[in-house]
Amino acid sequence: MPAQMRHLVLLFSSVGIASAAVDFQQQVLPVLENVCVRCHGADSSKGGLRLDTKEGLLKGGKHGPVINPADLTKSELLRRITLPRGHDDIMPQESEPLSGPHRNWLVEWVKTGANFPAGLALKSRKKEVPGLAEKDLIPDKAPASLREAAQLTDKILAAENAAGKGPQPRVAPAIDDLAFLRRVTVDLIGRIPTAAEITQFEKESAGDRREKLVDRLLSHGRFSERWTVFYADMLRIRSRAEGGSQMLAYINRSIAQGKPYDELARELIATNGRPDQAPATGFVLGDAANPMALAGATSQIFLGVRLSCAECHDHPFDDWKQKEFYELAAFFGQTKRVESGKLRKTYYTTEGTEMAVKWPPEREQAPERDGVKPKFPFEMISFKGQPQYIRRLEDRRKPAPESPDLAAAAAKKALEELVDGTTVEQARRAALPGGDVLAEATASVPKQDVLKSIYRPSPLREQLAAMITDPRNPYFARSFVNRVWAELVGRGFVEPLDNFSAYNEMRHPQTLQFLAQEFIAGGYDLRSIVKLIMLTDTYQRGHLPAGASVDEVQRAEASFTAPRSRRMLSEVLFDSLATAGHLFDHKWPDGANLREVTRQIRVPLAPPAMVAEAKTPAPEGDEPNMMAVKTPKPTAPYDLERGDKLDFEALLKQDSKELLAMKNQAEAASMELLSQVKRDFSKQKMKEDEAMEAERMARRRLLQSGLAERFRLETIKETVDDNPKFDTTLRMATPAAPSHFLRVFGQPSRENLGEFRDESPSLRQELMLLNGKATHEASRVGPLEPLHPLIAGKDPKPEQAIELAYLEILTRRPTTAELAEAKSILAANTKPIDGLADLRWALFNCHEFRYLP
Amino acid sequence: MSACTNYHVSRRRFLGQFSGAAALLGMPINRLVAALGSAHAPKAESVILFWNGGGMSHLDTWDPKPGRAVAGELEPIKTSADGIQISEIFPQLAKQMHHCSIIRSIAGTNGDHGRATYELQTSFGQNPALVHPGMGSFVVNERRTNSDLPAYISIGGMAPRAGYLGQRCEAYYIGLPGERDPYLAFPESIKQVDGQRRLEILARMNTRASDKLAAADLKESEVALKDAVKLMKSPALASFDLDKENPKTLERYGLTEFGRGALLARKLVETGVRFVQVNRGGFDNHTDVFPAMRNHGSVMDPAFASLIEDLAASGRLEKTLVLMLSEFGRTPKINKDAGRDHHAKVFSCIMAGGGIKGGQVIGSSDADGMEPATRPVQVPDLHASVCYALGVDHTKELTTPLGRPMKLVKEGAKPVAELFG
Repeated sequence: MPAQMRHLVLLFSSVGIASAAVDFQQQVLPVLENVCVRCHGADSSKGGLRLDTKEGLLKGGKHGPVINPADLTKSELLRRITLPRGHDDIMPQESEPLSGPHRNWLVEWVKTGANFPAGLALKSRKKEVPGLAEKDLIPDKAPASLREAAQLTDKILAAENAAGKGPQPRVAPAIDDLAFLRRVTVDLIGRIPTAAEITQFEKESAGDRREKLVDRLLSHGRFSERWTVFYADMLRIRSRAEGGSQMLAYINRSIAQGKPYDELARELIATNGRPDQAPATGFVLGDAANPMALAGATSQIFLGVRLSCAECHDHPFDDWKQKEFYELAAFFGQTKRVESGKLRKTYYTTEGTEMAVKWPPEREQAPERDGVKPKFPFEMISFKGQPQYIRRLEDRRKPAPESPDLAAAAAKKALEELVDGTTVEQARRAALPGGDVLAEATASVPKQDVLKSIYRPSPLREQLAAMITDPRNPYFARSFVNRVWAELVGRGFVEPLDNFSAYNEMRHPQTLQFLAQEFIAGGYDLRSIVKLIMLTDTYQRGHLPAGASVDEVQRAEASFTAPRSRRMLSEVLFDSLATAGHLFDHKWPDGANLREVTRQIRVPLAPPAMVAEAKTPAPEGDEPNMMAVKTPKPTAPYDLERGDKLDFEALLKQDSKELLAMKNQAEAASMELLSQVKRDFSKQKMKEDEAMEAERMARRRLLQSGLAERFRLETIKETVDDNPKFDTTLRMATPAAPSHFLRVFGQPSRENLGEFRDESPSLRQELMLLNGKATHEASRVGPLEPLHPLIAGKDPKPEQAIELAYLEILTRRPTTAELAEAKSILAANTKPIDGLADLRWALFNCHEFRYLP
Repeated sequence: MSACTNYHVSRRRFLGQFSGAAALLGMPINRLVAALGSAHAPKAESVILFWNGGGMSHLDTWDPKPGRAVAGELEPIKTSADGIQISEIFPQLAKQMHHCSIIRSIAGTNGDHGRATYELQTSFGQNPALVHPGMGSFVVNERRTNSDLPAYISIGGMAPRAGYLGQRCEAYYIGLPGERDPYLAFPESIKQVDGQRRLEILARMNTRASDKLAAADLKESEVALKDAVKLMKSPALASFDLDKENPKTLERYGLTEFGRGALLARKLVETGVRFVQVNRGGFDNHTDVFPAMRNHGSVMDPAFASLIEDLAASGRLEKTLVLMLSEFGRTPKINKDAGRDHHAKVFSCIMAGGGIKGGQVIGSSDADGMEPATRPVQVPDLHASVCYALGVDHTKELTTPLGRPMKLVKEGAKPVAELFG
């Protein structure tokens, strides 16, 4: 159980039920050390009062005793901490009033006698980097391979378990080959394996097929897509946010390219510009370039430290001060978000000169507030000598010596380009479509550094990015490794994943530190750390069998000796359904599946012409027109299983139309190129204005008619070719709508920090799987899928069909009992093919499909 | 993925387990009495919230300013409540005003759609570290449903999220009122397939899996599955259906999505659903506010008036709190585009039923509807009032999954005493 939770349980059991049992060590001491002793301790004893010792507490301050033994409820200490906010006498004075439970602990403590252990001297708490105290289990020598590193990981983990108090955890046996295949395929490429992949895997020699499989899947095209989901959750990417879609495409491309994680983080933190040219700006635009929001997000996402609570007050559960939060925010304090365009808005970020983060905080209404000087609140680890993992990183990154011939050739090319020059007209043509107008313009008019004048880089954020990603930063690598570990093993060393704190439990700190070191030494390579973890015995273990007590299960999960049963991510669940059900392609010939369906449609009561005039098509096709009356969109009943597909490649190409709009912002209006663009833009704007006016008049007419929203429902019959095909959910606009399949199965809204996948089951999930279109279509056996000839051919082989259904859906063969049951299911139908659909439907709905082996 | 704090205790159980204890911890018993100085027998059992997204003009609805330059094109009309006038766009509702209370002095703090919506729906300001539950979510956290149907149903669009209360308190969505939710029954094309037989096969498979593994989630999943099947088979599902309604009733509520939503809301609370939210947008009338408001009136008036009338006739109004909210009001000044812009300093809302006293106006705005003149009501007071009507302690302290103590309604909120006579 994480420390904080344990804390709570104690709190509730002690205070809620039997108030006498308030725990001094667990509850009172931390509050005193965090809040009170700072001013009432050995270093400073304001008002003559010391609360760090029993004597001090009983003696009181110069205004008298703080504990009233005659009537504890009338104690001065109790009065001071329960005063309303803003009262002159309230304590503490130098931080926010005590939060509810903290106050209640102290109140209960005083009321029940204010017992303070004699001889104890409390100390004001200082910041402490959690989990670095011990390192005796971490070998000095670098492992020779990922396989060896994996073995070392298991060894350190086992040693940490052995050193633990209480009974040793039960250890689950290793999973079999097919279970491994299923688990690894799901984790690496975001769907279950196909029958062909099972066959291929089984053909390989037993010795090294697990490692070979991992290598093969790491280079699979879907690896980038599956892990884009991981990053998207972590970075809270919303494709509808400014620059969100571009950022999603950029992350996808970065994974495909094998970009080191530290480099990725530096780009996200420091880039200024426009999303389609510099898509990493999506990170800053996602929080509207707000320094406060970005300080909170940056520390929580990249360092796993929840600093955002310190935005409004000194951190209640931790040692962070509000001032430190402001100093971190100041790194973002000169960044500006610029908005341009009227109908089609575009956004970019650039660097200004004014510091937007000011101290003291606004709510204190101080007469004067000064710009805050940026200061990084985290300390780097200082080493005596250089540790081997940092040396390995530096060796890896030594620039390859450039051959003199190549260098000379590059210089010659540069010279030629300079002599050749580029005319403005050429630049303009190059710009449409897809060229980089600004870059070209810069080349043609070297003196006017247009690009820089618009998208100025941020030296402050570059400094910040360097400090965050410094290998000596004790949080950066560990917080990422903790997330990857949790993604693969089912829980992190630290939970919640983004709460590294001296007050939050860290399990197996040395295992985590070792993995973090290997991650750094490996050049912050995602694939390597994923592979390392997958090669451990820890990853390859099964679960405890039924009959294990709740206590045993919990201990084994927390000790990583029997991982939790993970449910597939919502995207992966859907794609697995589509894979096993052959829904990525049509499984019926055209027209083979004609069906008459009835559907309700809405018929507006207003005259059709009136409706049409009130809403001209949006000029760019897909942009929502903010002004229009919303006409009800005809929705198909199963829209909740469909999504908008994003074209990642196209998103990273520059959109010439957006460029036109952007140019209007350019400062260098004297340039022929830019003024031409500007003329084009104003012409376009005039046209838009006329259209808008006409639309407005038509809308007035419709609204005055009182018919605008009135409709009747009509039931129509139509014939459809019921032969659907689904797209992968890994390339959808994301997150999906709140009632969409993906969201119902736990995809987070990504609006807030600390929001993780909700894996808890719900009624709505069951309904969507029981009755969904996808489940239904996946279950039906279509003539174009491999199963069909086995069940409906001239020479049916029902046993083979059943076996294939089990392999395709559960990645294993049926047991004898299951085979017999399946045969009876087939026999219960007039046509065996319908029985097979029943069987597949049940397999898709059962626990075993959703939860990983 | 795994990332729930409580990896082995699902969020749902975690909250169930601890929120009660938190209440004991934080609270002397029932501050409600203290809040209003008198004992109160709560009457409301369910809530219907009409959410008018975009910021509805207070001047053109509940707080007309006849004779002032800011009044605009719409005239006030008399109502069934003595001395109370509302905008001419509500001729039918005017006849039900003796059931309704209007608050004309809500002192909003936020003129931004997102932030104001968040505050109006949750009572809290936005916080990057935490999502607060919306009204429907915190109500059903305290008062579960007493029917087979989900406790909290949202019709026609986005409801606020359940935030730290988790999945259990999320709204069940109905996209288009009266139109069939395909997920509540087996697909049409396999109706001939024996669904019961499939469910039996599934039950056997799941039992085998649960017998093999000691995973708590599987048990939770089975509970959810049982609930789902129960819902699919429940006769209460008929209340989602508007087909069997008398066409005259449909006509009376108005042949609009909003009218159907109001009718559906009535049927759902009659079945025991605790909280129904009916959503409608289009109030962000920066241009041409008057034709827009006439249209809004023609849509809302028949629906809202018929709902009150029907609930009153069946005696259900006493047990059903009906309220209509928007994130803010609109500027008294009429802009160059014949529209009104965002105005949060003062705006109005209307409530009826659930034990509140009808036929009254609470508070007032100044002569031009710029600021509260008397009896300013803070936004969280509205949430406290909803709690009060239901007999829920709005000062109750819950604990978020991350261990942070959190009040049900923002600290300092007080129920609007006048509402309850």
